[in-house]
Amino acid sequence: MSKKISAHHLRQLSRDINPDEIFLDSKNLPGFDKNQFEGRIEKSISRMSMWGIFLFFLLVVFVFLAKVTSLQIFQGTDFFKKSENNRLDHTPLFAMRGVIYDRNKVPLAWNSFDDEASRTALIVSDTSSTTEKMPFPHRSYIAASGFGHTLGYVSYPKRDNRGYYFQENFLGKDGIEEYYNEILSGKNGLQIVETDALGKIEEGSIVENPQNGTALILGIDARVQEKLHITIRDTTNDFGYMAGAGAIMDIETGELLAMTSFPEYDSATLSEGKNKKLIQSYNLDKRAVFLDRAVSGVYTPGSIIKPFMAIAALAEGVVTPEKQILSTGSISIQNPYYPNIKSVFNDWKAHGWVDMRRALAVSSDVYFYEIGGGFEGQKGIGIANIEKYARMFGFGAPTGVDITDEKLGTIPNPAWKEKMFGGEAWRLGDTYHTVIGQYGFQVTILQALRGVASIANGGTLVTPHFLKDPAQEFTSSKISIPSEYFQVAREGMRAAVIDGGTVRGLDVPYVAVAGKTGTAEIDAGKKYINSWVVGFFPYEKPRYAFTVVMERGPHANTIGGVYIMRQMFDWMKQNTPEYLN
Amino acid sequence: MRNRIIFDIVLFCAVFFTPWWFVAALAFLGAFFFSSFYEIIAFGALVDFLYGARALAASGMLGILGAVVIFVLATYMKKIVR
Repeated sequence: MSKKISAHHLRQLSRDINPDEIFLDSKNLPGFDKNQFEGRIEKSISRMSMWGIFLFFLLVVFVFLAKVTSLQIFQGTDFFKKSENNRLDHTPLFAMRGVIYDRNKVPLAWNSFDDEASRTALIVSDTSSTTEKMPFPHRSYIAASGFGHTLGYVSYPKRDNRGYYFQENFLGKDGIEEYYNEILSGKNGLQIVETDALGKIEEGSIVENPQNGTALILGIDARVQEKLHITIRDTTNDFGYMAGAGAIMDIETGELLAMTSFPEYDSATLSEGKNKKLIQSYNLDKRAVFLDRAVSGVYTPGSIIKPFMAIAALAEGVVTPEKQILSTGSISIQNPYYPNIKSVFNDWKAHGWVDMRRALAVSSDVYFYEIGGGFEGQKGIGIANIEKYARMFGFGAPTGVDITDEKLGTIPNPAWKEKMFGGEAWRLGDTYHTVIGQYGFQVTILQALRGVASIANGGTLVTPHFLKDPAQEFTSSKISIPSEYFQVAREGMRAAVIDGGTVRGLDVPYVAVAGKTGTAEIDAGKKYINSWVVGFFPYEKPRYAFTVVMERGPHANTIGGVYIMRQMFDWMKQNTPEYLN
Repeated sequence: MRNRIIFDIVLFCAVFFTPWWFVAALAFLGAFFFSSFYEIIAFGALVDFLYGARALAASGMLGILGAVVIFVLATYMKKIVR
């Protein structure tokens, strides 16, 4: 038997294998779909594969369990706290910003809404809420010109693209909006909205109603302010000035009836911030559109300082109102370095013999050179007293107006010169120039306005302000100079109007005006001037003081501050006569 | 994380219903776009457990070896294209 098997086996081994038996198989002639296991050798799935797949799924389950354990057990407490905070979404309910009115209750700045639905939703009531489309109102401003710097503008509440408010309040950025921001803002309310883990709103409730801001009534008259601005704007454009500003103030209370600066910005444009082109033009404008010239502009006062110096000279007793001084058109003093050479100080005109009232009326420089610095037999008050009295009238100090960024100005003195000019000593000529409001003298429009008001009211230094209601206390102080000296200055200023003086342009039949002009040369080449006019009215019983300055006009120009106030008086006679009586 | 879980589910299904080269390409994308895509090793092992045989090359461990290669390659590429 074993022999047979062995033989058969040997036959098998010795049998030839034909090539077609191998190569035909490799060609897959039947067309098996091997991906579907056709034509493949079937073999039972190994135990290792089964265990491997089992372990794979076990691994997946383990990973999920580990994550769940981590979330629920190890970090569960933290996440619970976070979810407690997250599920309640705190949304501000914006308080309505206080409306700003003028003295006649004309709205100057108010809140506006896209549509009636937004108005209903936003204005505080039992159902007030925020709206996604318009979560807070816009701030609108009076369309009339002349209010930009006075009112300022606001920065709206800001939120990121996820709706989170990183600035929840309106922020006043300039003018009244900035100064009274706290009063105007009110207090935002709070709405709590409960959301689920996917951010879906479950329910909402108001926990705190907003407290609306307080409305402000300003002392300004929108009509007068607009007219003043338009007149300054037109005069600037027509007569070659660069800019201008002016103000009118109640001399007893300090309430500003008008205060405006040209050029100005548009409050609504800056609040919205959308008109980038216009905003960029403001930034690039060489006239400094953002400068509120009435508050932050400092100007060489020129001859408007003379009434104050006249009072100082009377108070110091160096001159009487009646004493006459000869103006031949100039005075000469010996040059300290070159005895053979005389330094000449010119008057703008030879005025002849002038007393104090006449000197103020015609604005004699020689008269003030002599009472300021002294000349021959006439004693002067000296630079120390010039500075002392200038400060008594409020120059060189903030007026306290309720607008930010008020500037101080400069009153020249020996220490100032030493600092500014590398240790140079003070000379008599410097005193001469200072007493007529030149040299380094610089004042603001409000300082000049307050100073003139103090002359008009007999020596009370009031605080200029806009706010009328809610009433606030604005301080005032008394200048300790005998009141009869103020009367001399007032008479001189009145003579300037009615007695052929420099302010004769304001000699109008319907109101008695007293005033003083100032023409300050502002460059070494004497090409440009600032043109001032200050004054008060009615003369007999003064109620209002005014100041206008026109900036950087041609030297030869005779049109300036007086022209503007004449336009104003003529207009006020027709439209607001109540202020002239 | 949500995207990653969805991608893992898609890859898991691909192992059963798509050709090997599609699974490999998908795994490469996963390794490239997700950080520390260690799941690829587990999927490589799954492929070997399902389709591997000792008779095949690398003793039927092409899945796990390929997963390691893809993981390393994708990590390297991420570094140089960053």
